Amino acid sequence: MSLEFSIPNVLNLSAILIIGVSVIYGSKAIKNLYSDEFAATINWLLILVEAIFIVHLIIFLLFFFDIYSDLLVIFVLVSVIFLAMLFFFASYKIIQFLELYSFEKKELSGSSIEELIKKRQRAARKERRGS
Amino acid sequence: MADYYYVFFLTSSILLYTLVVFVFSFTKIRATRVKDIFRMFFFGLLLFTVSQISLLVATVSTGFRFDFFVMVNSFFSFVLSIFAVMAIMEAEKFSREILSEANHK
Repeated sequence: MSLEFSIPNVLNLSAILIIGVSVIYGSKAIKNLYSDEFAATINWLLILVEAIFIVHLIIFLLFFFDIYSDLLVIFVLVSVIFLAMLFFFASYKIIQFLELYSFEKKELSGSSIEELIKKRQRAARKERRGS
Repeated sequence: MADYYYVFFLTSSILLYTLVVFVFSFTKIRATRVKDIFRMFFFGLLLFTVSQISLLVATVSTGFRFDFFVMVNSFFSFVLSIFAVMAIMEAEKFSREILSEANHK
């Protein structure tokens, strides 16, 4: 249980501190958003930052307890793949929200508005069948 | 040691695919006020992609080094987290504008 003051350690520790502070600020800001849909979209950004925080915390603990086995390194690398996938889902949700917002404000082209109307009708039919 | 570069190949390809999908869908939408919020997310995504590609190149050329991986990942992660929080703050500002507009009406 020791922590050397090498460049990776210092960078890792500062990353944990900065990411931790940004998680706190982000979670406070999300409470003031104007609609639930918008908050759900922005929440994906916070989930991403939280996931990065957890990965860095695991790396910090690896350093702190002097654990360096291949299995743990693979675990960290798999979590990086997970982060990349989270990025994909976050961008998918953002685009979905932007389409919905533009649809409500009528800023999309005629053909895409028609497609969105059809999508909404299909979703409404499914909901009716479900209930 | 195993061939760790496959991991970075996978992460960079997922992120590049995400970038392409994001940019193509983003340019189609004309709601400029909301689009401005997510520009910071785009820069964060771009930075993270750059970090993964640099890790891929470094791993292919010199092999996997955990210290180097931690350094690169830490640096790009805290820049990314700052960008993400900037996007969240922009969203809060946008919400305030929307709410004040609704109150005026």
